[in-house]
Amino acid sequence: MRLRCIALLITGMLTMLAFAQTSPAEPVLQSTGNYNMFSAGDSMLSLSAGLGLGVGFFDAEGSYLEPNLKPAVNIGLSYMMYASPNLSFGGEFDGCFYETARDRQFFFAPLMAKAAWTFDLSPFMIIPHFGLGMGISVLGDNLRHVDALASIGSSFAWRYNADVSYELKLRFDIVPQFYIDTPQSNATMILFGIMVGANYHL
Amino acid sequence: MGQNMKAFSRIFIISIVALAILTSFSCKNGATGLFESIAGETSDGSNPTDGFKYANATNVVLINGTYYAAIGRLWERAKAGGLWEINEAKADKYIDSLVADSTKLYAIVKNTNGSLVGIQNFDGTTWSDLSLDLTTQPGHVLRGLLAANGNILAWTEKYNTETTPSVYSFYSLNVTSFELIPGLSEVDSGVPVNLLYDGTNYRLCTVTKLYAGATVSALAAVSPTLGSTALNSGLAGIAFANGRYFLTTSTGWIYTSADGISWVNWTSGATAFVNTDGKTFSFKTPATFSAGGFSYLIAPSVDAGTSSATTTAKGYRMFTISDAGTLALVSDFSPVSNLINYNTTLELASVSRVIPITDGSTLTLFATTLGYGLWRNVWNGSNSTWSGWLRESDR
Repeated sequence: MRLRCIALLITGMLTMLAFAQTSPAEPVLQSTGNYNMFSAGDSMLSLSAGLGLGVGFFDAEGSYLEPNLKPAVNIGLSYMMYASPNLSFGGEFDGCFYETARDRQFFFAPLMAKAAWTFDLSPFMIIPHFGLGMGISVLGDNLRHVDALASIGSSFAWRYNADVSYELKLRFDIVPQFYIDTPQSNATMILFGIMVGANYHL
Repeated sequence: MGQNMKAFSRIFIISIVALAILTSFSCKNGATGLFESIAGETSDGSNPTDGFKYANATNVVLINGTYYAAIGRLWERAKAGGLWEINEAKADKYIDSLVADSTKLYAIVKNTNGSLVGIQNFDGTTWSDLSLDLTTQPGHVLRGLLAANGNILAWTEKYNTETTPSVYSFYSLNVTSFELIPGLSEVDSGVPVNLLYDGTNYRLCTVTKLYAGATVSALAAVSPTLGSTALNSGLAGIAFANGRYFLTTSTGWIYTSADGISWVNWTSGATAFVNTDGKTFSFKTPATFSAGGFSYLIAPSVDAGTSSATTTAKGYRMFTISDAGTLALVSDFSPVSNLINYNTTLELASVSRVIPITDGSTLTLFATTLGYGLWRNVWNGSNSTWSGWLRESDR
């Protein structure tokens, strides 16, 4: 399953690159006082993959607990639309394939609405984001849950040409889980993701 | 930005935020919280080879300070602990059935091509051949061994046709040879499951019948009933504790009886046991044991399904047994285990058998599984603690 996901991702990235290279080689655009990389109405599609790490859990009493998660393969798809040259809104969907300390399969899928701000330091970009959404958790065969999710992080991107940029994305996901019937089971999970990706400027 | 795209973006963002709020609070669909379950995991540090980790184990016995297990081949480890290793003398043989009395183990030994070597016993030092003359039972094939109170039985099967049930013969060990039990020659008993000694009588359980007798040679079929209904199918094993018999079935039922003949549901209004996913338990032979002044019954269960539509529940159900012999379900598996320990160990396994082995003040429960290795859970009588389920390992 993981290999299939990675193969899909690599294929996607190569496809993006191929699209980018269909246009004649363009000089890297330099930022000037009156030029912005993005303008309102522009959008950016991102495909990324990387490593997911468990930071830990906080139990119902606020005590820190070990994450008990082995490093995971993360894949993600993001679509952002610019409302101004810097401010963008959009969404992201990821799949994270963890294994617990006792070899249980733990699949975590964040789905979130995102707001991001782009600092254009051509040819580089720094794009911090904040996201709010939900995380779908599936543990083993019979435990499933959907929880609220908050995400904060930043992308550090390098613009390859006017259409394509590559990024390194760092992200923390904070996932509180509440149970009405047994509040002692409440817990908050914190995950850290480090991903590389390709962005296509639509 | 187009008007349609703007509207779409707003709807998307509002939907996600609304869903996040709606999903923030919910009820459990499992016994523990999902994150609570992961955070509560503890690694037992075992690192078995995949061959051992995913092996079928069938039985564990304790002989002269050494545990022996039938896991394809014959494995052994010191009682005090350590790793399992293959018994050198039988390294090139398969062990088809393994039982023991107080001083020796008894095994059906086969070559790796499946051909029968014979029944042999082992006292920790010497292997000896035991004889079983099948010439008087033409068509019979040696299938298994049973043991209770120092009595060792062998049983053979004569396969008829798909529409005609097999017949079975039983033999009792007399020093070094197995002798046919006249009353149990070519009986239509169904597949034998387990042999029990209750302190006075022996009880033999097969999938369709129960037998009782003051000696193994005197075993005779009884007519068990549940109310006015005959109990004659799906029997999975019989156990005894606190003056009461307990019978499990492969269809998820547990019955109790004072005489081993008239049975009632384990509790009034009982229904077949199902797990949190609604899958019915397919019980195997129950195990009874005492620790810390309490008596317990564990009914293991295997996934007996042949397709995804017919899967049955893995793991086990556990009960306390009162002094009067009544059962009370222990939903959190304490004190033998706890929800998280259970969720991360035997709930994931087809548990074919739980074997209590007492040694001084220490009680060790071994759990054999179909394809998920061998597990132990140790009661330390000195400090009154259970270890929880831990995986046995070969490295």
